[in-house]
Amino acid sequence: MVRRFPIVVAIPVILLTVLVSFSIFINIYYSDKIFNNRLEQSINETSSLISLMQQMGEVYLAKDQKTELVHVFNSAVSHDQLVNLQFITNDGLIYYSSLFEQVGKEVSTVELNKLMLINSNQVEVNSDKTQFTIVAPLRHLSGNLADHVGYIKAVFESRFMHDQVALEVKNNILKTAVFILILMLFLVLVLYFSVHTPLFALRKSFEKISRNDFSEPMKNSMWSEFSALAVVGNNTRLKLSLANKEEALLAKIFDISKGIYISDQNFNLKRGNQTFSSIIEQASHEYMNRNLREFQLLDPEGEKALMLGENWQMELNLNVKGTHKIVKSSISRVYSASDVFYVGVLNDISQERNESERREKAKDEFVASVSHELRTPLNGIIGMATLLGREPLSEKQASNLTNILSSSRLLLLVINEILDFSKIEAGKLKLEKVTFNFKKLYKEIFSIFENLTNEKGLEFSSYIDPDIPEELLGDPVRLQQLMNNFCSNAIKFTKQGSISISLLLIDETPTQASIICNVIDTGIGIEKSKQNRLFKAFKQEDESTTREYGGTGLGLYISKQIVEQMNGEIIFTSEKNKGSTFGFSCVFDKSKEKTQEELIKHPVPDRSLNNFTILVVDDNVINVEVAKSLLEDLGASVEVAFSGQEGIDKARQISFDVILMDIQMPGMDGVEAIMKISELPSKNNYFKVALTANVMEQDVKRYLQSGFDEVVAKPFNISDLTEKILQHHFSQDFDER
Amino acid sequence: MIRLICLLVLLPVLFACSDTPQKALKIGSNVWPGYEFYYMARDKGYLNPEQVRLVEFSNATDVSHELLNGHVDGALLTLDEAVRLSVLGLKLKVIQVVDFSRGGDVVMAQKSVTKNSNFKNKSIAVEASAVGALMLTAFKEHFKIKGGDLNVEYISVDESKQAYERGSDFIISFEPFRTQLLNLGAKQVFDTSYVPNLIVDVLVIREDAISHHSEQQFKHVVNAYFRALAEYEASPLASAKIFSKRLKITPQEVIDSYDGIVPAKLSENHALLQGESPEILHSIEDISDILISSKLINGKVDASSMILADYLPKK
Repeated sequence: MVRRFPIVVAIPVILLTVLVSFSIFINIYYSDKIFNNRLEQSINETSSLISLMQQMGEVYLAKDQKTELVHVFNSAVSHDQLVNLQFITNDGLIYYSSLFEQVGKEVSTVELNKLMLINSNQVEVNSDKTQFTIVAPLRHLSGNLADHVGYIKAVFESRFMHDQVALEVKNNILKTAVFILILMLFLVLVLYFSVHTPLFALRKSFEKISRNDFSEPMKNSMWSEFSALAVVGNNTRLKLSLANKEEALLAKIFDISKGIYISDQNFNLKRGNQTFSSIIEQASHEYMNRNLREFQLLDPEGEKALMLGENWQMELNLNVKGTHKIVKSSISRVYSASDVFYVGVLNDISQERNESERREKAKDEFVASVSHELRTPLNGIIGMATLLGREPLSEKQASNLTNILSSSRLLLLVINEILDFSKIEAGKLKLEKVTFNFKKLYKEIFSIFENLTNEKGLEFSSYIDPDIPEELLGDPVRLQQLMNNFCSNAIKFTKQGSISISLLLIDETPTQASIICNVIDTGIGIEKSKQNRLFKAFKQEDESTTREYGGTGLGLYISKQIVEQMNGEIIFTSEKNKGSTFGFSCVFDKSKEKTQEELIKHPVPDRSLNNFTILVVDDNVINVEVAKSLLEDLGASVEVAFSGQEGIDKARQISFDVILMDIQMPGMDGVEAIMKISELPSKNNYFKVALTANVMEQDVKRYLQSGFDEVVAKPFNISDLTEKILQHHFSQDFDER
Repeated sequence: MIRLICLLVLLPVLFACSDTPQKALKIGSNVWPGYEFYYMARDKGYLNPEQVRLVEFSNATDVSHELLNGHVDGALLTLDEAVRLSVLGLKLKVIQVVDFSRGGDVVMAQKSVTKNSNFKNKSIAVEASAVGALMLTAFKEHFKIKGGDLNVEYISVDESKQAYERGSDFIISFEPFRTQLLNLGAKQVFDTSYVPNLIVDVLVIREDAISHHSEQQFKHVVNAYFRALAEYEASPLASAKIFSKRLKITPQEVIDSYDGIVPAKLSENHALLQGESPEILHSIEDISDILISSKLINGKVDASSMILADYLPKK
């Protein structure tokens, strides 16, 4: 990392360093000169001192006052720089010396000769400038002036001076440094207020801008440079502020949970938000400039529509990197001043879709389970009651047993209605479209109701229009259910009078027949004000009706749904205490083929099951007992098994004509068991009937696919079952023949 | 922060600016065997010339003169001279006793004398100095000589030989002139061994020098003396050889001269200068009395203010 310095400190420090260095250099450079000056000055001073002593010495010597002469010399001894002061006579004797031991000694001849050559004062500075010597000859005042009577030789040291100069230089440098430092501190202050403060203010403003806060205006400064910067900065700030607002708006749009993208007029992607990226699982640099079609976002049809200026909406099934996604897509053409581009919105609904599917499935499973659990015991009740009815009973017992049976059947009806209702709610009520004999179907239904109506002491009349075509396409089971509902209601709510049913052909084309059906009773009728709630789920005329007549209130609701599924209309009129008319009108397609049933229909000679060997497999003991008893009553020889495995074992040993297999069993279930039985090498043409409480449509299909010949819902009707067994048996015989 | 550090660093430098190079402490002296230990210390390097500089004068008068004028910071003097200078108004401190004259100062005579001798109209040559006065007073007291009996001739001490030759009856002198007189046949009739602590050599300093020099400098010079003295005591002859060069007498004569001049040991210094009532105090008072009676000084001195034992090495 590069070390950075604040300008406010760095510049003064650099200046300080330079100036102090310069000052040191100058001082050192001139110190030598200063020393030389000082030395010269010192020599001059001491020279004049020596000159004075010289003159006094000459006088004292002339007067022979040697004590005074010594006194003069002594007065100079305490001189700060004096090293030695000597008086040497003209014959070389040291007469006086400030170093006492030299007194009385003689100087060397060489030195004496040197002294003799001196005419006036002589100054000698030694090479390292630590000392200098002054020699002053004393003239012979009382004799020949040219003769010397002696010499004053004084040695002075200059070391002290040297030190002093060095110290002065040091002090000078320090004083200069301190001065420069103070100057620098001042400069720091000036820089701080003139440069740092405005720069800091600008920086703060910029920092705020970097955080998208444009509130801090850049402060103006007294310095033109910063002032200009502040003006430019403020302009930039305002522009950025504006741009930021637009950007924020755009970001808001682009940040929604839907994927948004923009393409150019050639459908090449130009921009997309984060959600878009995550839907197509491509980073922006990956999809940039690529065509929408590459990402399955557009097909030729959509392209055409968009080019015509239309919006294009579509539910897309995308395969993104192996994952299936359901995406709602909508693309619109947008015009700008100079350009055409397309804006698309994607909404990933895969998760919701999966979730709702999962919920639906759970609900179905629940309904199936409830249905199964209710039907199983009901099968036992009805079966056992039926068996009981074959015993000799007292009148009272027979009556009670009838009540048990009717209550059980009612309960079965309720269960069926609730199942239908849940189908309707799930939107899964699907009607079959098979060829059936309309008139025959209704004749059978009417015959049943005629009996019931007569039992209640009511009059019954029916009319079937002879022009109604024989073969129509439709769902005979649901049509029967419709008639059941209407007729049951009519019988239920009518205490006296009559019930009449009519089927009329009101229109016919070569392919279709419009039929109207009415069930007219003279029952309690329904008040006008309560009529409109009749066809709603769980509603009857009012709560009292439910208490008095029972019922779930689902019958009419289901009827209405069935009619609507057939694209027909419900007919309903009623008058309180006069009676009601329920019915429907519907258009049926005519069938071009004959009813299959009729082709293979064989007369069933005998309803007994003599000589039939039947295997009943069920884990529920009661159900096994019911089936066994009912079938044995009809003359069949019945074997029972309580699990799939046991059933297989029995099938291996005995050759059966019919196998009645429960589906839901612990361990091996009915489907698996029947498949294993089919694989057995022995006789293979059993009549395999799934006897189950699982009657949901998809289950039935599955059972038929896995090898069952027939599926009978529990609780089963013994005569229906017998019919089916015999039908199968005779068709087999017929085929063999 | 940086500024604060700069200031802190440079503050001591600012104070240092006012400093000047330390001046050497100048101690003046004349030539005297008792003072030779300082010169020996200097020659041996015990005395750093940058701290203490010894300035030699050819006589004591010039030493006093230079001390009075402030050309030197301290001096090696006789105690009486110190008293005299004090009375003149010079504030001095005695920081060390250098030696005692125990026979060093003498009265030499043409012929031997006794207490019963007639001193009337006899001449006595004496230096017009305090020592002269002290010796004269002690001599007179010793021989019970009356006031006007002796004719006093004033000489300089280095003129002792001439005075003897002129025929002065008594000459008050000291080494090396004593030896010279003895060689001429003079008789030593009195010396300071009769009057201990009367003639004492001391190291004095000007009171104003204390503020201009560091304590270390004063301690340095005192220490150097005792170091040289210890060396002399260990091997007198070797040291005497050094002394003889300056004193211009033979080493044996140097050793002999210390019969009369006894260097003051550290323990003696402590006894003389320290304590509630230092011994030197009485000497100062005695000397003061004598000098007053000889009319050499005209006032008493505050003896206690003259004593400063701070620079002596600890016991």
